[in-house]
Amino acid sequence: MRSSRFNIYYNSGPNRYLVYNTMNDAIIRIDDELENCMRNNSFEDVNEEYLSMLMQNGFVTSIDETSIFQLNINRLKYSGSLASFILIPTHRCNLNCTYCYQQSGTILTDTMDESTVLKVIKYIKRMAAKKTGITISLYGGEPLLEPDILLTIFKELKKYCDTEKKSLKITGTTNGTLLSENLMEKFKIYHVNDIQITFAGPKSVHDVKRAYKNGSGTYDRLIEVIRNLEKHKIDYRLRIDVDKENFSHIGELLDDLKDKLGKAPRISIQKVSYITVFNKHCDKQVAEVSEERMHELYSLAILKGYSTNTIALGNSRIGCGAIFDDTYTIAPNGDIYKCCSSVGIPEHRLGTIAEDGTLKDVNQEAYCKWALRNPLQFDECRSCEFAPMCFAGCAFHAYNKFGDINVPICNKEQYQDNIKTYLKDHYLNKWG
Amino acid sequence: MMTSFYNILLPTDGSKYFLFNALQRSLMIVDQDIKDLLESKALEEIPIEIAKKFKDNGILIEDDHNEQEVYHYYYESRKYINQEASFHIITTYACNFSCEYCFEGKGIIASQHMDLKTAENVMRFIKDTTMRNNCRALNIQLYGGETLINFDIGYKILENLSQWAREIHIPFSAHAITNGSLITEDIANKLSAFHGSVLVTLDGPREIHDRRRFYKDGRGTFDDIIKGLIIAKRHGLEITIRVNVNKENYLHIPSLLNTLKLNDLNKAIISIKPVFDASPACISCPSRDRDGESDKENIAICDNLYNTAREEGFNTDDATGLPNLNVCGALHSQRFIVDPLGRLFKCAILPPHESFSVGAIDESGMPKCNSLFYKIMSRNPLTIDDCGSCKLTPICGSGCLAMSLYKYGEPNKKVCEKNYMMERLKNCCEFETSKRLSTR
Repeated sequence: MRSSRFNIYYNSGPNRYLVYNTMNDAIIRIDDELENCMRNNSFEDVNEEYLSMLMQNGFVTSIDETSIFQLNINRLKYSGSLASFILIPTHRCNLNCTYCYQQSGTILTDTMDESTVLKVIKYIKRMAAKKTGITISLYGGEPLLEPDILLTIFKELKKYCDTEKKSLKITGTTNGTLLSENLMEKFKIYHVNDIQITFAGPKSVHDVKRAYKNGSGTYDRLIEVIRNLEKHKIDYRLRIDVDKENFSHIGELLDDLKDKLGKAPRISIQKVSYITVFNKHCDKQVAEVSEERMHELYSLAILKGYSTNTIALGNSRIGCGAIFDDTYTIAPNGDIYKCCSSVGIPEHRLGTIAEDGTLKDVNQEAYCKWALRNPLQFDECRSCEFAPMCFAGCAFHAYNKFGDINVPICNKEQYQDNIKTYLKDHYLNKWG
Repeated sequence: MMTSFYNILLPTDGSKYFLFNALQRSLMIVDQDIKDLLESKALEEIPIEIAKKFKDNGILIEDDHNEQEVYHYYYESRKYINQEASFHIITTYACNFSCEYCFEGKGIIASQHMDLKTAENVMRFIKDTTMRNNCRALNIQLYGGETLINFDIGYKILENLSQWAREIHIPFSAHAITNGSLITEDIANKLSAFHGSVLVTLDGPREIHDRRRFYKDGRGTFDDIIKGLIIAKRHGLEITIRVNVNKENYLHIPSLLNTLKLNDLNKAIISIKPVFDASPACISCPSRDRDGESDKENIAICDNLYNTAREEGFNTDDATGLPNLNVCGALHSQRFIVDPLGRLFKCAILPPHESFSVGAIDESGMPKCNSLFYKIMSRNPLTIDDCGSCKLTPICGSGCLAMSLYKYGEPNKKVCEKNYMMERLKNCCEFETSKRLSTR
C-alpha cells in the first residue's frame, strides 16, 4: 500500500492540507499528521475508516497506478457513445486578424462545393451509424460565411437523428460578426448552442487585432451580437485571446463586458501561440505571454466575478478531441483529419470522402497515431503527477515545434498553480 | 513501397497461392510469378493493376508505414467496443450433475448459492457498468454450477434488469446456460418473457450421453433433458445444443441429431465443440491450448459433424470464413462473470478459483478491482514474449488468456500454436474462396 503518485499537496493553513488527486479528480482535506503519513507511506497508525476513504478515492492504493492510468486513458478514448465532427465549410474569412494562424483565409481558401456537401452528409451518417448521437462543431475560416451549406447539413442530420433516435448537438467557433438575428432564428430549429466568440481586448485593442478586411473594428458589432444571443437564449462562451501586447488590457475588457452585458459572461482565457506550420512566411509573429501571466489573468477574472474553470486551463484531457476515437475534422474539400489545426498538412490527412460516403485514399496509420497518443508513451510523462490532466500537452503544438505529434509538450510548472487557484476559487472556506 | 509484415502465403491445392494479410484480414489468390516478386521484394516489377489491389488490401504499404501502431490501435479500441454489456451471473456453484470432464469441480469444490443481498449488489454493479461504458444493449447469461437450482434469484435479477433496460430504452436479452434437467413449465414460461434462450449440452444419444453426463447418483440425464427441451420449445425459447465431441462419441452424433428431429427439435442451433485433452478449453478462441495429437483429430471431427448437422437441416454456430482480429472477450471492458459471492472474473472458465478473480463487488455495488484486472486489461500481444515478431499475432492475440493463467499463473504469457493455426488458416482461406466463387 502506498500513496498515489498523482497526489498534489497544498498547505492550506496551519497544520492543514488540501490534497488534489489528478487521476481521480478527487480532493480531500487532511491534517499535517495524516499528510506526514501519506508522504512517508506509513499507514500503520492511520484510522481504518480514514484509510478506507483514502483508498476508495485513490489517494492511497495497492495497485500499480500505471496500469490503472492506462485503463482510464483507453476507456476515455474508446468508449465514447458519440461521433464527433469539426466541420469546416470554408477557409475564407471576412476578418483580417493580426495574429491569425491561417492568415485570414489566404493560405487555404477553399469552400465546400455542393457535391462535397452531399458526400459529407453521407459520411457523417455512416460514421454515426453505431453511435447514439452526433456532435458537430463549426470551425473555419469563418463558418458563418456559408449559412446555406450549414443549414443544408443541419437539416439532413436532424432528419436522420430524429428517425434513428440519435442525439444531435451543434456548437461552433465563429468570429461572431455574421451572426444575424435571422440566422439565430434558423439555428434555434437545430438547437445550435454553445457558440464561441473571440475577443482580443477592449475596443481600442480588439479593433486593431480583430478587424474587418477593410480595417474597421468589430468590437461594437460583437457586443450587439452577444446581446441578441442573450435575447434568443442561445448559450455562448467568450474566448479571450492573450499575448504580450494585449495582456495589460484584459482587465479593462472584463470590466467593459460586464458593464455592457449587465453580467459576467462565460469566458475562457487562452494564450495565443505562434504556429510556425502556417506562419513560416509571416512577418508578424505572436509575442507569447508567459504562464505566470496567464495565471494572473485567471485570478483577476475570478476577482472580477467571472466564473472560470482554472482546472480546464491547458487540460488536454478535456481540451483535445483529436486524440479520441470517433472524432474527425471535415475540411471544405472533403478531406478528413483528426485535429482541426492540422488541416492542409498531407501527413495528417486520414483520407477523403468518396461519393458513397466512405473514406478513400485512407491513411490508417495517421488515424491510429492520433488516436493512440497518450502520456504513457513518453518517459518524461510516465512519472509525472500532472500527466492525467496534461495528457502530454497539445499534439499539434508538438508537431508544430518538433515535426512529430509523438513528443510531449510539458506544462508542469503551470499545473501546480492552476490547481491551487482552482482549489482557492472553489473551496475558499477550506483555506486558512 | 514495401511488403506488409503480416502477409502470409499458403499454397492452394492447385498451383497458386493464398495471400492472406493477417492485419487487414484480406485474402487474394496469386500465382507463382507474383509470389516470387513479393518474396524477392522486386515490387517495381509487379503489374500496376495488381500493385494497386495489393495496396488496397494492405499487402503493399508505404515505406514509413507503422503496422504495429495500426494493430495496437485496433487491439486497444476493440477492448472498449461498447455495443453490448454482457454479464454471466453464476447464481450457484451447486450442480445436480457429476459430468466426467467438469472443469468447475462438479459443484463440490464450491457449492454456494447467490443470496438476495449479493444479487442486489450485483444488479447495482451491472447497471453502473452498463451506464459507465455507454452500452447500448444489455445481455445477461445465467450460469452455474447448474443455474436453475437457484432460479428464484436468477429470475429476480432478470426481472429487475429487464425492467431497468426498458426504462433507459436499451434492448435486453437473457440466456440460461443450463444442463437442461430442471427446465419446468414455470421456468420456461418465465424465461420466454425475456425472449430468452437456453444453451444445453447433449453429448450423444442416450447410451453415450448418459455415460458422460449423469446425476450425482450415477443415473443418466438424457431423457430428462429432452423433456426439458420440449418444454423450452413449447414456450418459444431459442435452443442451442452444445455437443462436446471427442473420439469416444463422434460416431454417435448423427444418431443424436436423429433423436432431436424425432422430438421435433430440428429448429435448435447445433454447436459442436471438441473436448480437449489438456485443458478446460475456451470455445470461442481460435487459438486454444492443445498439446495432444488427439486434439487435432477432434477438431477435424467437429468440422465433419458440422457439415452433417447442416445437411440434416439444423442451424449451426460454427464461424467459418476468414479469422477475425482476435481480441479475447475477456478483455472487453463491459463484460464480467459474477459468482455467488459477488466476486468478479473476466472469463467463464476461471471461477471458482480465487486467485483468478479480478475483484469483488462491494455493498454499494461498486467493483473493487485488484491488480489482476488491470494486468488483464493492459494486455498487449506486441509486448508478449516474441509475439511482436509473429505474422499471426493479429488473428491469434497471443492465444488464450485463461490458459496462460492456468499454466503460468499470469495472464499475459504466450499460449502459442503456430503450426496448428497455419493449418486452420488454410482451411479458412479455402472456405472463403469457395464462398466467394459461389456468390459470384
